[in-house]
Amino acid sequence: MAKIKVKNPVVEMDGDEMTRIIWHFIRERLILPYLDIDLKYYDLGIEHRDATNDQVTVDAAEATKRTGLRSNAPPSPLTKRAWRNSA
Amino acid sequence: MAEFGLKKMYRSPNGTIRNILDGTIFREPIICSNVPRLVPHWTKPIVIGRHAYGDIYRAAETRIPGPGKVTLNYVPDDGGEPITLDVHNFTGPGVTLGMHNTRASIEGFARASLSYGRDRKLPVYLSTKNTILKAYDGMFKDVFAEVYEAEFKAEFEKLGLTYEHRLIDDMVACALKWPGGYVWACKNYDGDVESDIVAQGFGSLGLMTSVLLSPSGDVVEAEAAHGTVTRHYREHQKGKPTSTNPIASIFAWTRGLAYRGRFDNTPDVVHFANTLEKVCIDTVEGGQMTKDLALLVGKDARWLDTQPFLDVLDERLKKELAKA
Repeated sequence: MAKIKVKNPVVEMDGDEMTRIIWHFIRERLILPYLDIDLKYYDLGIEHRDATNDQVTVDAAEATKRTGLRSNAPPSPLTKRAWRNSA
Repeated sequence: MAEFGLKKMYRSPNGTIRNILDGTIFREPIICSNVPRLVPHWTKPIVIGRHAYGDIYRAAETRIPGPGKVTLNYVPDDGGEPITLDVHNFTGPGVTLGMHNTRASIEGFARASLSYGRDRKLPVYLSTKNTILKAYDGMFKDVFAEVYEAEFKAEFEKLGLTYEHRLIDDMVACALKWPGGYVWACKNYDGDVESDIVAQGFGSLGLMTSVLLSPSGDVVEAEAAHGTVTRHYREHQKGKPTSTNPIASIFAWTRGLAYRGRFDNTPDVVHFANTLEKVCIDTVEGGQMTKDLALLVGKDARWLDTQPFLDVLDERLKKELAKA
């Protein structure tokens, strides 16, 4: 089966813990075998956010905004609680 | 924090991303007919759009120690006539607050809400208490009506969609009564409360998607609404298989890809996204699911581990795509 061509790039934001594992499973099993897609990858896992002083989060959001393209992000809250408090 | 030796505590990146994209977050449940819901007649999604700026979340508040007068003052930058409102003459201790919102933010909220409804082909409702807060909530009602008239009415009518304002008390009663199938644009506090009521009513955060839409409607970020499933991660680290529900994460891909396809005018990408979503729902409805859903379905329901579940999805996806 020929892969389906995705015309413009997509920003991919990686996350933490089990959702990060699942995210990779999905990408490898259900997305990449079927789509010819240019993924602009940003690692929003906590270790990389820490290493970049969270600049990577800003960069990912700016990339999404600048190119006017939509992005796919897994949830990356540290904990449920952190996420709820940020709401 | 200790686990990774981090420099500091980091909050979810969602707040940062939302601020930069200036968007509204819409939470939409994925409906599988065999997964029971706490509100059984919610057979169609209720999409909550929460205005994420201002009101009580950016209020100035204080305790009042004793008798005295509280006023609210507005001093125009252009040297115009100041406005002073009497809030209350206290005869004893009490509390008070001042809160605000901006027309620009409300306009963005209106555009994002109406765009989401148009894109998902769902009617849109805005709830306020404009009978009490005539100026404050009145601005929400007026701005939505103006944006709808000027920018969305023609498209909505063509699609057979509607936009309506409702009082919040009427809207909550309708929400309980109706089967779903609409976007509910909520003011900040209402959205905080209603999104948790609705999530609970639909029964599973594992089946809740989240889409952030910019006011212009052309920047989209999609994600699963649930957290990082730490408990399963610990098992995974020990090398044990887990039965982790991937559906909300899959829908993060598909919702994003569907928008990408629509923006690029590539219907085959939209078709792929829709097909993968259908495969997920059909698979669960066909009785194959992860443990979290099986526990909801019933004592006798069987479940698959993550990898075998993904195998089933892949197999079904291949079949469905071959049909086209």
